[in-house]
Amino acid sequence: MNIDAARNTFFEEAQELLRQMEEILLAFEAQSSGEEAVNALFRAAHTIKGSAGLFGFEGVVGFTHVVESVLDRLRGGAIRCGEELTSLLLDSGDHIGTLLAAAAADAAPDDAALRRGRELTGRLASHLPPSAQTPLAAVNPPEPEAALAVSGGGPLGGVDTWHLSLRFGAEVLRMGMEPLAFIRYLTTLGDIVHLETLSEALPPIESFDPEACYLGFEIDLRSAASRQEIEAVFEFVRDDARIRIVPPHAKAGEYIDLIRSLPEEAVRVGEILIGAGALTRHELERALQAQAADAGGRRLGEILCDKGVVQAPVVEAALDKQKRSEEKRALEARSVKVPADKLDLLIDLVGELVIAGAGTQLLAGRTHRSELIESASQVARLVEEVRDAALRLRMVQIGEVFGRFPRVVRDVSRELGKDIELKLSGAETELDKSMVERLGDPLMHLLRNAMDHGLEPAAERLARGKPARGTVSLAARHESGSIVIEVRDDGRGLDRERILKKAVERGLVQESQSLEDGEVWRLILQPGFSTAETVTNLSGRGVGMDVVKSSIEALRGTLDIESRPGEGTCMRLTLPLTLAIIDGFLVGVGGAQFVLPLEMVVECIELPAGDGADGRDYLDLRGRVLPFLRLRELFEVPQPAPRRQNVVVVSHGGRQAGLAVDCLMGGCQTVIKPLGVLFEKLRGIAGSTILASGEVGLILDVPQLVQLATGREANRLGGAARQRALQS
Amino acid sequence: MHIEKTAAGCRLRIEGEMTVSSAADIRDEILAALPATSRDEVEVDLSGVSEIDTAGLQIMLQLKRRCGTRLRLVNHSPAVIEILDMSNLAAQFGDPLVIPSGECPPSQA
Amino acid sequence: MGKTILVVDDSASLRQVVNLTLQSAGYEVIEACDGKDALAKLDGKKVHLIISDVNMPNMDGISLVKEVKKHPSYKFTPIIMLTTEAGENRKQEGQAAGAKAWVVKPFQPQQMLAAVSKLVM
Repeated sequence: MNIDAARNTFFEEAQELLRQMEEILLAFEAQSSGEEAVNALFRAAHTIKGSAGLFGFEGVVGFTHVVESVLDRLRGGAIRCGEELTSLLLDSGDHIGTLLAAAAADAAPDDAALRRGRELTGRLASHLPPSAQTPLAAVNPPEPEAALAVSGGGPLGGVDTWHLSLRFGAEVLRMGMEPLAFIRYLTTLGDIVHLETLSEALPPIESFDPEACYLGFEIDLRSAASRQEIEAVFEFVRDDARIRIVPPHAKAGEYIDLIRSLPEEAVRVGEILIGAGALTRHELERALQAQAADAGGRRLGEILCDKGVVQAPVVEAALDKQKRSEEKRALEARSVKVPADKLDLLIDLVGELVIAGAGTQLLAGRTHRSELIESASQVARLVEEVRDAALRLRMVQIGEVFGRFPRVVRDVSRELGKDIELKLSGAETELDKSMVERLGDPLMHLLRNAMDHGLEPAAERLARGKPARGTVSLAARHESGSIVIEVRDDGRGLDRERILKKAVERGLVQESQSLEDGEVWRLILQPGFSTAETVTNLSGRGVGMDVVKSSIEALRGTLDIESRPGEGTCMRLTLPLTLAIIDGFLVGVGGAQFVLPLEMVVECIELPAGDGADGRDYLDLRGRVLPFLRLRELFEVPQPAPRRQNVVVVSHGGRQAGLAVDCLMGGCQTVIKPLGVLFEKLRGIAGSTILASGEVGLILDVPQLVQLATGREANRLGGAARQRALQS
Repeated sequence: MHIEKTAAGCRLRIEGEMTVSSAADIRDEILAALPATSRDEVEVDLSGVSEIDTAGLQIMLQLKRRCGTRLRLVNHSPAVIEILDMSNLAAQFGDPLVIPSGECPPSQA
Repeated sequence: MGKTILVVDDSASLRQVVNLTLQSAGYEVIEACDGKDALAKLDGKKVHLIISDVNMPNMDGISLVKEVKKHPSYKFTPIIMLTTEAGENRKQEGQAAGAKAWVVKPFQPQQMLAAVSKLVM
């Protein structure tokens, strides 16, 4: 690995850590901060600082050090995480991101960033004791405050008493090593509370080797140092002495906490213990040697416990951690990252394969050779499975989009001075990756609208007998081959009168027209329509809802609005799961063939002789009124209608409509080819496809047709159906 | 090493280093001066000890073993006081330590 | 009286940095530019510690260690070897010769002082 690759890894890791910090901080606002979460927060900052140092990003190191110091105090319980601090830490996280971006570009942070850094540092410093407000020391700063902050009792509380048991090898004196020099050096780490020199090993003077060392020492050391720091004192005699470091009893809990908070990477118990500082590498090597020599085949944990190096509960915690790490690793080992374009190519090819397969099947059918037909249909079935599997590769959880909204809601609620709760559900719902990417902006806009216009100020809510805290919810679910996403608020609901008034002003509707609620709500989707009385910097500039509508339509989705005065508004997006391939239902009108998405077909009935004969556009479906469209008229098919016609009942967005066609030709696999720019304004047509016969089939835009059929004012659509405003 | 026999017993004066470099010589001189059968009182003057290490400390422990309560350590030099303090063995020897004025050994907790 | 330390390195600037660091901590320092020079400076006066580079002209650090270990007056003198991280093989050779304390270059003055105070009473 070269330095550049390592740098990139660092930036990715740092971004991920920043994202984690943000997530944790946002969770703080929802509930009180747990110890685990604070630890995780601290570690994230600590890791960023440490790694940045390796690459010489001094700016990142300097600022992150201040953040880390504050988090350290938070961790030690010296300060509490209130709303202000959470906010400050979120901003600090953003600033680290800015500094990282500058570092990634090999640029110095710009003036604005520097100013911001100074401002944030100043605010962070107010959470630090005056003595700690010194700049980062150049060389490995020891962290005694961390240990001191653990317990609050007494001036030296938190400094633990370690027990050291030292047995120097006979040769150390001849090597120039002086045991007492090491022991004296120990006093730089803490206080020797008790020391006992053991001279029992001294032989009688006659057989005494004056140059050999016979003494042993038992030492109680009161120190805030870590196990590693203590062991490092004896680095030069490591191989020539037996050194046992027994941690203070109180340390066990600390080790266990540390083990639990370790990233789930190391899968060996020894490595986990070292990671938590409960064991040093040297001690591990010794124990492993002992294990290798052990005839009883004892486990490492047992050996460590027996030697008193590590307490049993600490070993148990490490074993538990090991189990989790293995599980996580197994999970990761099962996933592979693939560039999206490779996947797209595969889907494309599978699409072609589906068409070619269908063609083969058709040809095989004509030969009337049963083996060939059977074989072709088996291939077709497998191709279908390959298609499904290939499409599933592209499916991702919508949570990827949802994840960014808690922060948005939090920021917006601050800005608006409203108390808003965001409820997320169905984040695990899967849909095509390309859709997920394009859903972010429309959802963001709907959410902001809901918060800004939908929810009333607290006083107004209270006056209406609602809880002061407003709720916006974002829910996703699968529904008959579509994905439905609802953005709901419990606010004041849409104001029918105001919308109508505005629509009349804009000339969108006539004053005399009587419109149903649904039709009124749809007016807000018209370009340039905004009813907000005050323009905030969030929404209300009159751009938006029409943009949202067109971006949803670009995804072959629809946007429905439900609203009840005083109760709230629900914006419902209904989207196809994927954009590439559909199960189609082929129908014929005259010489033309049309494809309907099969998932939208409810049933097929014969057009009753009487119904519609007089030009009516509705029929009686088991006692219900079903509006229907004649595709022959709609698309101006020249051939005359046959005597018997069929009606395909389709459904979209909870509404049903009929489509009158000549004949029903059954299901077919359909790869959607987008229409060229020339035809993209065509209403009622969503795309084209090559049929198995090689002919071109037009794919019907069922959502539009349903709207058309159910829209009372639009029972006729002339020409090439180019009118834009169907509802007005 | 300076050895002086008196009526009451034996008086030793150790000069210079009491370290691993000189430990073998000192051991030999002690063996020669203090036969195992001797019941003499032994006084060791440590004022001339310039340096002492673990090897020197082991010699002192051997002396104590050989002579027990007949051993009297006197005039500890600062180096000796320091090592007795560090090893926490002063009590084991049981001799009064006189800390020379103006020259305090480094404190040990 | 301060303890005496012999610093052996062919780099004059390194000797100067180490010398300044040790002197400011109260040690007396003798400088030598290679193994031969070092042996010449070991003329019977008490030396409490030798700090030596491994790679030097004339006589390298490992050979110096072997010579020192044969010298009746200095055989028990502690030795700190300076090494770069790449010198793992030399390190094993040096340890076999009796040099147990190794400090990796580049080091901070404080690291050097810590190593020294672990070996000199």
